[in-house]
Amino acid sequence: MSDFKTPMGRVRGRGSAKDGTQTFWHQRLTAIALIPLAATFTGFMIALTGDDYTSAVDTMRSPLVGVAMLMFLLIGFYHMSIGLAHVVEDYVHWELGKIGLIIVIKLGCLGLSLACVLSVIKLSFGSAA
Amino acid sequence: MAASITHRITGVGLGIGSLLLTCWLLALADGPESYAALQAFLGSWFGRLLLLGFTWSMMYHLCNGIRHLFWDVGYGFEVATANRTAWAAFTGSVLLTIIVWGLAYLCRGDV
Repeated sequence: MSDFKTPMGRVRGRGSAKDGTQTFWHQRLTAIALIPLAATFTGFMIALTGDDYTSAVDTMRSPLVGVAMLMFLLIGFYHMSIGLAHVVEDYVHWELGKIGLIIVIKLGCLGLSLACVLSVIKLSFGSAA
Repeated sequence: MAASITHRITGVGLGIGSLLLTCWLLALADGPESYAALQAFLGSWFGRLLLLGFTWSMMYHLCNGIRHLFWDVGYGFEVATANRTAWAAFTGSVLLTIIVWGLAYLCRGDV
């Protein structure tokens, strides 16, 4: 009687990602959210094409634009961190390299999303250029 | 098969695109000089090529992603259907890319 785990407890969290089905579900959830968010983002970038600095800064001061951008960025970077890690898990079979790359992906996505969020917040609260 | 690997390649491509987006937001938040420098880079032929790749990657990943979501709930697994939707995703992504760039050039006002 050295193992008190149930069969379910023993397999939970296995698989190459070590976290069971949670990332699978989160990837689908974020994918659905990203359909309207990516469409909104694309429309926003089209509208900004050719705008000078002043009007681009003015557009970014709108709270609605800020919220839409933050949703797209946060959900997008989360979706990206899961997806890129998944690609590494499938193609990199050297354990040390795999873990190293996944750390780079997770920290990189976190860093990039923070840089984006800070920029959006600064622009949202900023004065007109 | 081809659609599946393209989904992954465009996903990785979007990772590179996210670097561009981060630079764009940082430059805009930093001030007019940084923004002008970044706009000059994005306006160059290489910058436009990157943006075109970014646009098509996003449109393909979006179209083919919808296909994957239908698979997840059990629709469209028949080989004939899967082949048809693979082509639809590819064609749709090219059309959407053309539409996005057409509208962007219209917004610039220098077609």
